Amino acid sequence: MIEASSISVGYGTHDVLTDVSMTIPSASITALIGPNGCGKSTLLKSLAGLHRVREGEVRLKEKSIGRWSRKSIAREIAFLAQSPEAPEGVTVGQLVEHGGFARSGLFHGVDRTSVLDALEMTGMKDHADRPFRALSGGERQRAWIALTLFQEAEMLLLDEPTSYLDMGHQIEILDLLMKLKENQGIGIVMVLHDINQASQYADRIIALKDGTVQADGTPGEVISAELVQRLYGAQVSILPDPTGLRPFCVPRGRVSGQSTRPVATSAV
Amino acid sequence: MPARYKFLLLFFLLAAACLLSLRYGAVAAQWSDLADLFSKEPGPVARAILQFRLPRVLCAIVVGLYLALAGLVFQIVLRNPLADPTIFGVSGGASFAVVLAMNLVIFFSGSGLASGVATDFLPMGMVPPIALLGALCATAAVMALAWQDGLSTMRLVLFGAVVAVILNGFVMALVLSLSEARTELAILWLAGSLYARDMANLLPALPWGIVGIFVILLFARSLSALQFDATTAQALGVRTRLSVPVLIVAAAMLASSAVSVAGPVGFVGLLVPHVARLVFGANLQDRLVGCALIGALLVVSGDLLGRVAAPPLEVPVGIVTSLIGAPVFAVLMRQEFRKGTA
Repeated sequence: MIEASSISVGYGTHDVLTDVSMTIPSASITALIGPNGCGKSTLLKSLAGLHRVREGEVRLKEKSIGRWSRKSIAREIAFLAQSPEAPEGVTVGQLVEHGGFARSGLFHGVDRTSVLDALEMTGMKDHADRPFRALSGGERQRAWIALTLFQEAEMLLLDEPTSYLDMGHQIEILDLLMKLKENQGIGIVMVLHDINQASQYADRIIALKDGTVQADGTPGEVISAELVQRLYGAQVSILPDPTGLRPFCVPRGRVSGQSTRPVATSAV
Repeated sequence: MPARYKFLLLFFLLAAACLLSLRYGAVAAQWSDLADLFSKEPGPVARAILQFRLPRVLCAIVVGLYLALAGLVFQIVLRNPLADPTIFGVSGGASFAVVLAMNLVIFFSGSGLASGVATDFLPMGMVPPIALLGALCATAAVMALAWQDGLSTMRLVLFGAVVAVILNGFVMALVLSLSEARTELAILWLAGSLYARDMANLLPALPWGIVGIFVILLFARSLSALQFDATTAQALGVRTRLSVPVLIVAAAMLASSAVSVAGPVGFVGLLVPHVARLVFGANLQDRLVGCALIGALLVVSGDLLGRVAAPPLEVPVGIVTSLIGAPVFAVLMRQEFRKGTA
């Protein structure tokens, strides 16, 4: 469990987050949404103890995260950056091995079979000996997730895990995360750009703008045309969802047949 | 081929290069003279080998090993495939200290000995400690300049380049201010040479180097994780604020020690880590051992080639490693880019 109590975070003198509080439980999926530059990534880093908090406190298992060593944080929280860099020339297996850093000591190395287990979970077992660079975008992302799984942490924090993937791979990754939550009880926090994906997959959505929390709750509670207008300045219609649990946003122009912006039309 | 066969092969190549190095040189020797080394009363040729060539081969092994390991660590920690011991002012600091010492000694010992060469004033045995001091000071200066709430690789590379440029400027000015006959030793040293090195040159470089290697082995797993971007490395559990400065100091100690023995031997620190990656793949432990073996092999055989090319004249080992190393490097890089792995 990670708790943030009224944290303010900044770069230099500029505050990116002001007075943000939240509790992230395990075995749930939390999606962070909001416009570019609203502080989503900074919040994610702060929750992982990777960014210094100016005011307030982040607590991991009820102990201030500043008092945890880097290694012991890594045993509790796995973090995947938006576009991480892989070591030159590694194979998929060698990449994933590094997830064991925090668990293994100076003299005992990494268990090769458990590396394969982590790759198995992400459907990458057959690729263990392939060079990482030869993988496609979707395969790379699954390799990175295998690395975080190999960390065997209880919490998994991901910064835009689907952003550079095509639709098929996006769904593949999100289904995989869903499975990890259900089968392993991993608590997942991820930054998502697609509000509909957030609605479909998250148990909880936290909406950020200008460094403050605008809304926090289940997709049914949070997503409204008014919120999307406030966050992104975009006009959407909410499609009626019979259950009311997972609302779906459609850009207004498409539904009503009217564009909110002038569209160049060409004579046929 | 498994890594341990490659280690074995490299080890045999290194042993062969060492034997050839002992056998060939300005003084004619036979294989029987090498066998004579182990007899109770070695002959004059065997004694010459023992006195001159053996220390020289040992120096070459140590210099190659230190430079290659330092290059590997610099390249990973500074996230720069072009990083080598000359970055960072290590070579510049050593060169500056040595040339400055030559100038000072000549200045204070007065003139009148117009025909004297610099060795008459500054004994060769004094050069390594002076170089070591200069290299460590320059490294400390670069780190102090780059320190600002931790070390950033960008600042380290930039300030390293600045310090190197300034020091090299001073070195040129000082070399030119030495009178003609005296520039020879300075230039010989600056080219990176193992000429007339003996055990007295090697010994001061050993403790620094051994400490450096020990630290690198201790931090090997952190070093491997540092191949990821800094955020990912931290997320994996690496204490970057500790391991980055420690590894840089260790590598600088190795590089300084190597430069103190042989002068700034070019290209070993840059080339060998890349060769080791091509030979051994990405596993860092394999690459560390591979770097040590390949580095030693390159310098021993470079020194050998420099000596047998036109005896009794010598081509300094630094020039040989540059002349061989640069084209080899270019070919390797072309192949790697063609395979699409770089």
